[in-house]
Amino acid sequence: MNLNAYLRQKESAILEQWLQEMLAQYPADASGFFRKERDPFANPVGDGMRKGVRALLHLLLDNGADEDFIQALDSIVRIKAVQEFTPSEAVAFVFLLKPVIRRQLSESSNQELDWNEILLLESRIDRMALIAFNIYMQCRESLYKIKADQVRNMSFKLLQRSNLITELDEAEAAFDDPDCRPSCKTQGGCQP
Amino acid sequence: MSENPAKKPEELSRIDYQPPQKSWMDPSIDFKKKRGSWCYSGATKNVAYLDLPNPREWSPADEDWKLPENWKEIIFEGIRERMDKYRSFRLFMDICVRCGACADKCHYFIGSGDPKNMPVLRAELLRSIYRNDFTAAGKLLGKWAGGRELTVDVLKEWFYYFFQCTECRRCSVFCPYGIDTAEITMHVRELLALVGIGINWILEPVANCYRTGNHLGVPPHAFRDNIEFAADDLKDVIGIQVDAPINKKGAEILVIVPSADYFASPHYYTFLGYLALFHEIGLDYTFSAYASEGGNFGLFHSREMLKRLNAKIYAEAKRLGVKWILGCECGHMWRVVHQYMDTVNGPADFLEEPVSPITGTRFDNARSTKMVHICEFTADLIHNQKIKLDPSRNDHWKVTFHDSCNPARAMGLIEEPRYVLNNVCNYFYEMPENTIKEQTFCCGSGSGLGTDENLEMRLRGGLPRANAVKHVHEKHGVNVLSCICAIDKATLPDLLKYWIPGIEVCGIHELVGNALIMEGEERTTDLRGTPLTAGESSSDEPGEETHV
Repeated sequence: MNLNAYLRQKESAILEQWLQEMLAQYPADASGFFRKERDPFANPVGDGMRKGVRALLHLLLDNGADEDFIQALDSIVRIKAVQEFTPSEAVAFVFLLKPVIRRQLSESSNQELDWNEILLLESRIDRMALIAFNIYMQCRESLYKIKADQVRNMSFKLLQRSNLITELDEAEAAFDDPDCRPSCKTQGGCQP
Repeated sequence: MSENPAKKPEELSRIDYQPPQKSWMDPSIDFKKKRGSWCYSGATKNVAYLDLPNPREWSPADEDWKLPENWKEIIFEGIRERMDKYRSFRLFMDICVRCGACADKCHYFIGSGDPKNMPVLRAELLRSIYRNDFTAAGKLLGKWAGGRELTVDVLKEWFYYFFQCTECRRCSVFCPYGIDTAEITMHVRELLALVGIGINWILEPVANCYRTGNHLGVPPHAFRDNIEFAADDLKDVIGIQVDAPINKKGAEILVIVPSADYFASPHYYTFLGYLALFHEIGLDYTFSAYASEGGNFGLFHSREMLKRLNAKIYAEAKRLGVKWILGCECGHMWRVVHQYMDTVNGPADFLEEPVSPITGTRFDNARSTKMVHICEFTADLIHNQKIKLDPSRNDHWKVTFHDSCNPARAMGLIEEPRYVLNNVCNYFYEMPENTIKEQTFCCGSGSGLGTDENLEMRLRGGLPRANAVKHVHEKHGVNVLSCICAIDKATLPDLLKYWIPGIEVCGIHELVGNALIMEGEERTTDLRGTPLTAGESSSDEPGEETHV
């Protein structure tokens, strides 16, 4: 039996243990709730994790595309990025899969597993961690952008109401255009 | 991770994910480490302006909060006073059996996983002090009876967690004893205010409101400019110059709006909707440049402040000689109106029981407060076929409705907004049942917590709401979240930007304003300036095309 087939056979145990390890990051009162409540609307954190780990394991075993990894990781990382975790804690759940898989393999009596396959799988997990960190950073950046936009919009509105600004649409377009040079911005933005 | 030479390499790479176990009674909070989950302290100028105790420069991250020397005495006296004054407070302290029905109902607990955000445990932070110093068992047995000593750290913990409750009252829906956790939060915030602990995002609007009549500090002449500005903007859309009277003595109805409606986006489009509607039905109404705010951040500070800020509404109704009051799309204004106004500033026996001048409908439910919700008013207009509507003008919107906590839970306004929505748009989809109506999830930013520095906490708290919006977005293509609360309109756009980018937020009367067929109108766009779809613009010649 090859590695993939073996892990598919052990899928439910792997998922349960992986989830268990992830939930251990939370206080006991919360992890119990995240694990037990199955209504996705009453428990979006637990539901996101449960669906996320399942999707991720399938993608790992099927050698899925990056876009699919991004989608599956997003359902977990987006939540952790606003919870009380340091960046390393927020993406650490990816690495937790390694010991779970290793435990399963150590319990196996199957001596024919190919170590190259195992190393390859672990490399894929590492890659998944890198993608998770990208998502984490995007989440944090979007958070800072929301804060910056609030301040910017407030200033714009005050200037507009005080008649200190004209042609607001053009000026806003210039500010939104990352390629626009500062000198252009004062003139209402680059002309096409 | 600390370096430990005795550890093997594989052990070094292992992180212990289990947070250190500590008793819930340990109150220590490391504010410096807590990121984005607490609000800045009240600025000295605002505390002083309101004649509140202990104005000073301080920050929650400081070790020394510069409390008065006798702070403990003040807090105990405050608890004693409230025990005497409010039977409900004493009851709420004694009656909880810790059944846990509320535990997993708080949006902050659901989103953060912090057990002290369970309403039962949050309330225990106060109950433990109550037990220790106000019950015989606690005095004798201390922590064995669930009591703990009041320390500065406990005060800091109160500040942290009672400013992580949006007073939305979802937990109260599930409490078999009907404990109103929002009132427990209100009591604790009052106690904290006694020693000068408060947040600026509440105290500044309150100070502004006390000075100018609205949270934003807009003075009367600027208020008039804003209203006239809106009437001009509306003319650009509908081709009709509407009248928007201010301080008009002898008008039949006083209209009260949240200040964000005439200043902020997307509230503004809802305000244009009101102006269009009032013009079309020929309502004899007036705004007031002094009662220029429906919202009442006093509710988030103390009963006295609530009363001070609310009084202007009745005072202006009396001064202008109106018959009754029409309240617009605001959230906590309706908790104040429905549950406190009549007793703190009423009875308003100088006003008449509200009767719609257009339909003749008598609003019995507002017999006491004399204040009618605009959704009730508009639903009645539609029901009596007094306005013509073209819901297809909202066909570019796939709409869902977020029940704002206070109209839904504090006044039971459940069906009227839905009735209006079903008449003004063709595509309306409900979110799952356990996320709407009485069980609606808070936006995560109510009760004065909608500030920038608290953004992470707001996003955690807003997750259950956003998750339900995501569901209808994926299932039905919903692209706009409608609501009837100014705080929702201010904070949900940012929440959605993070959780589900691409979803807009609107008020119900923006959609009413779009769908409203007005006599003499010439419109090619909706209230946001988006071109109407082909055949829907009132000035289109046959065959002329207008594209989205």
